[in-house]
Amino acid sequence: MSSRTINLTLRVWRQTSPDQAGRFEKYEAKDVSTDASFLEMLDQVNEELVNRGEEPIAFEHDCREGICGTCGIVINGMAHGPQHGTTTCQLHMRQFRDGETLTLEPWRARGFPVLKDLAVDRAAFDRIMAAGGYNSVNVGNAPDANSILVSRTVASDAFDAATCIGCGACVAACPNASAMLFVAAKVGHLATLPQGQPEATKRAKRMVDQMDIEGFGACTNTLECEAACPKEISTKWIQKMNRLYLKAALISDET
Amino acid sequence: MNWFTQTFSSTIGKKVLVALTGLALVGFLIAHLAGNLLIFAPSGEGRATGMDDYAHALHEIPVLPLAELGLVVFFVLHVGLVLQLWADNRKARGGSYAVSASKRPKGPVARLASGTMIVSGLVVLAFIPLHIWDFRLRRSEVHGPGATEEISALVIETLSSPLHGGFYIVASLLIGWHLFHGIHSAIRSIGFHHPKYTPIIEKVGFALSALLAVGFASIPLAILLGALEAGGN
Repeated sequence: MSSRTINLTLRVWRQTSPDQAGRFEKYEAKDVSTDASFLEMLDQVNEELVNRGEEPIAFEHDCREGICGTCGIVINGMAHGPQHGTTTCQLHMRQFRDGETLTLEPWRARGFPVLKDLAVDRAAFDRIMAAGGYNSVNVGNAPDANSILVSRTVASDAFDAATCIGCGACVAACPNASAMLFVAAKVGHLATLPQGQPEATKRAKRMVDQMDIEGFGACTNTLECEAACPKEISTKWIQKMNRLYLKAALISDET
Repeated sequence: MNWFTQTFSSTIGKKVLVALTGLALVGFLIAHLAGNLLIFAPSGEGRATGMDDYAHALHEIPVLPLAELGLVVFFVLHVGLVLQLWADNRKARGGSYAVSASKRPKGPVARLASGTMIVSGLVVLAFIPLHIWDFRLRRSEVHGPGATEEISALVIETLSSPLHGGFYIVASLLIGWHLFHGIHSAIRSIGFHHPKYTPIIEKVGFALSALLAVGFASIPLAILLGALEAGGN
């Protein structure tokens, strides 16, 4: 495959700190290899900015392999850009045309305050996890292999939900900035496996309560989240979470 | 807060109530449309249309006021919670994006329907006081309680004004538009998802919303086109 280079115009959200107003700034990204990833393109732009003595564009990144969930930019109104099932770091410049103008914005949600430029504070997700996204019942030593039978379909179903990397694209894409898909994936993967079932309802209740405290919106079933999810997690998990939440709230004997 | 109020003031709990009251209102609409369409049927008891027979039979049901009260409660709950959720959701979003786009493969129609729920809902909300005035309150004011004038004559007289009839058509189509997203969304909100049944529910929801829109709109349309005239069809 031959590599080409393209020139792009970037409209980037610049914001110096959480409490200051942001604005869009224009930058030219010249001679960008179509084999470069989106973040490599930003690295290139930042290098020029630093050489000119300007403040580089702040954005989050870590593994650059699409598995850590750190990166995330809204590109032309789409969380993680136009390609489906991809994180921003795994989005490549061959997805764009020469001469295109790209608008880069941070995730926008009350639960995700902007720290700087394109970087947002996603500690709300950590607090939701801390509220109940784990197993805490003592299950003793590691059991003998195959003593707890889990069918192939159940295991892969649980794994589908467990692939959530907590990037927050669901919140970014939802018109209501709802965190339901994230919380549902976390509630769902544990509730699908035998080890997570003793606490399934309690976990759903605690995590949903924390989600509400963090100020995320409600689900209006627009299905924007599953379309933006880099791991293509199904919204069916939201229905499972709703069932578990209602069970915890209305049927359990906890008052 | 006790467990009950706590549950139904959570985002999931509120949506469950919106969904249940919405589905109950859809049930009402189905019965309402069935009754309305009798305006096209002849009366079996010497009245102007079948709708008049239906109206008489309906008002002989002793628990009707109770059912009406239930309807009002469902309606107020639905509207009240939706407005609250709408405000909360806008607050949750914070700022809006400079560029707005969707990655949904389903296309722009579904997106427009879900994005305009508040608009279609508010138009229907504005329509309802007029509708109740037209065929309920005005009727008893003009003719006294227990009015003897047949309802179908009043319907035809009222809706033969193009402006009035036109608004009824718009409201009918918008309620269908509201339910185009509303029905399948409500089923999801109450926690139902199944790989076999969810696609069927979506299709049935679309068909039902189209049927309700066309069904309700057909009456003012027939009147405006002169297909229904006072004194029999």
